[in-house]
Amino acid sequence: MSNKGTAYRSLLAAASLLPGLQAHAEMPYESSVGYRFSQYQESSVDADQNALSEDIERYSIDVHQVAFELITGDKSSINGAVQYETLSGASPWFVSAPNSSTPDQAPVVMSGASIEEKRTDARLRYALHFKPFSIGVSGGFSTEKDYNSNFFGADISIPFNKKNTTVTASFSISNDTIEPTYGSSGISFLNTNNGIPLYNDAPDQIDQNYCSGSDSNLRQYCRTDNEKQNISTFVGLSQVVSKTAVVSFGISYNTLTGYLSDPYKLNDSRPDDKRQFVTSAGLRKYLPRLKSALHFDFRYYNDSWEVDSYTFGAGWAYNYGSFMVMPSLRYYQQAPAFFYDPHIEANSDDSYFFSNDARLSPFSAVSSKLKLLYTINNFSIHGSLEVYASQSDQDDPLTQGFDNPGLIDYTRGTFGVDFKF
Amino acid sequence: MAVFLSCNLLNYRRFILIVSLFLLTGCSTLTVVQPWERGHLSEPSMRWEVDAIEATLEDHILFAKEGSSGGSSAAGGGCGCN
Repeated sequence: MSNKGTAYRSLLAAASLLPGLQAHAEMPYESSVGYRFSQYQESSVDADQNALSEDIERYSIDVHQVAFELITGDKSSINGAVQYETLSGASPWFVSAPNSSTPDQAPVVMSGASIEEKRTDARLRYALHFKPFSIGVSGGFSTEKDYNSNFFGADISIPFNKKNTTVTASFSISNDTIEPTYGSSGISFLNTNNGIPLYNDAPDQIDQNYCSGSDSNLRQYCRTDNEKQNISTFVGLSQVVSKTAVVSFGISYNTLTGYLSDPYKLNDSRPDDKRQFVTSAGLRKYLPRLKSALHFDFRYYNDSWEVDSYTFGAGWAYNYGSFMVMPSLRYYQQAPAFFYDPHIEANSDDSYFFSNDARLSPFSAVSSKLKLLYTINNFSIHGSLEVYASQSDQDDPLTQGFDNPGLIDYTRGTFGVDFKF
Repeated sequence: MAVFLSCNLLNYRRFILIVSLFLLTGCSTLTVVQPWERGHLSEPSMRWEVDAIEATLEDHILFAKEGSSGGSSAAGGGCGCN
């Protein structure tokens, strides 16, 4: 095969791999299968930050992933992935009010440290590749002891301008069912002003207590749905701008409706709909003299809960023979949900929406990662180490000057192998 | 809520306008890179995700641990991750 032909075919491996699709937007030129094992470990909660005054281990998770992409015909391919996780450890239940001995610290109360859970996630995508465009349909599920999710999606990508420009669009709809099996706190908190229950109970208990009881005053708050739906749309563009640079832009709009509270957190009561807007941009620039590629990514996120976030990513992929080394940094900053409250005042909550979930608090996080890749014949060996550290933003008035001790730091190590055929 | 949505729609219309202008002006003036000139673009280090499998896990972790997520594709299914 000529050099031109080789370059043309190999181009498909890069320029047509659109952000997010994680599958080729055009016909793949070879099949592949890969495996990854990851170990994820959250830092423990310090004794001075939790109500038990002793170090408490948070989640430790082992993850196995298998992914494949197969050429199934002249114009068709299938790609899919299976992910299996086992986890153990404790997670934040609620943040208590500060006591007299530690007036500057609102301690976190953790769930029982004996949580053990398994999750299996599988997804499959079938794609047809025609001359002017490619289309794909996908579906999958995620299943846990107390949570099930099913989704269906479709996507299309259209290259033009001699394949210097590719537009892609995707759509997905998912339905999730939540059936909590632990963590219920009993009905102890009703809104003192309007009597509206704060959903600190498992949904089945809410049904039992509010829907089946004889108290008509409570029945008006009957809530039978413990499901949620997510409709997601995405439009993206990838543009080759020179022999060494390519850029991308993306816009997505998602709507979530249904039970969006966290049943494993005390008094967690969130709106039953959320609209998310996300814009993203990326740049990949190759530096021939340095045999390196620079990666830059940006994302702006905004939703109807007033969570507002900026994400910046930068990486440097250096090629040395069969090796590639890639250090990268990611910075994340978010503003809180409008109903975030830093801690619970026992029996005195008077807001309809309430949460002290650290994930809805104002914070920033820095993640640093080092990735190694070694390629030999049809095999490639992957290894990476990531360290993630977060910090509360006390300047935000919603924090009332309190850190959220539920924020996480974690480390993750990943090792794996790919085989192409 | 209405104010919020209208503000966001304005922001997005502005973003779409910028992208459209880029397409109309930027793309049309860019040199078309021929397939045989794309050797550097085809380097594995130039992929949007150097390791797409690992990127799936990273997205999943951040989806579970941060208050915002998405932006690179349609969302797919959720999980009960805490």
